Amino acid sequence: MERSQVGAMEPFELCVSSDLTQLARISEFVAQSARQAGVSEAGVFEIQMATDEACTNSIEHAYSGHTGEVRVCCWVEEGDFVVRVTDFGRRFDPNQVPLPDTSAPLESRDIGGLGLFFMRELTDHVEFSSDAVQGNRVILRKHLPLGR
Amino acid sequence: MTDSPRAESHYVLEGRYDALRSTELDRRLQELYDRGAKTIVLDLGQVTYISSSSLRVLLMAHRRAVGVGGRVVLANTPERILRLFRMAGFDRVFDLHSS
Repeated sequence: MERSQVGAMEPFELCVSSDLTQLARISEFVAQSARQAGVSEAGVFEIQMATDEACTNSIEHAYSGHTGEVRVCCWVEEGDFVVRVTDFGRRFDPNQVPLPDTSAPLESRDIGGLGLFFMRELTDHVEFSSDAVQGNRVILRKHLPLGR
Repeated sequence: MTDSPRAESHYVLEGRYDALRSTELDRRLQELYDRGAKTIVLDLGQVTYISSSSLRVLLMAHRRAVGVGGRVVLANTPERILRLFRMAGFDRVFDLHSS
């Protein structure tokens, strides 16, 4: 049984300004796209959250107060629901962000890195890339249920 | 949203807590501490979403509370929010109650 039919859903794209007020709109856009692709309700919440964290990084760190554009594109590919977040702000290197030690006592823990942690924990695959032409890209993948 | 100027304050959170609303949450919690609250009970029953920004605010609130001999209690926590707390290890520090 195929996990998905490639091309069963045309890509959807949303372009918004780099403003935190846009996060709710992005979240709703991703939820609608994910439901159309057949992602489970629990999965919809997870991909919404991972996308929200990626977009927050773009707005707060890549653009860091400057005006820019955040693009969110969703599609289905090889059994996965895929979300790509693109910005054209300052280059973001995820390797420079230490992952939080979730086993360490919270009282003493560095509270950074939680956004990246959730992006990795709540999706099946995360990929980062950055170049001058295509900008900073985060690709988030969520496996679709069998039979989709 | 309800709160009172006493050692234990209750605060009801509703809706979506993303990076935009985490600033508002931080301000409200700081106001409660400024008014003498030591222990803050946060009712999360109506929270539909919470991002890492707001989780950091809760963690800072916890540290402030411990600093004055108090604590933060998270009440009526929806299951999917509870799962995020467990994932981040928050369940080992906060007094967590599910809905």
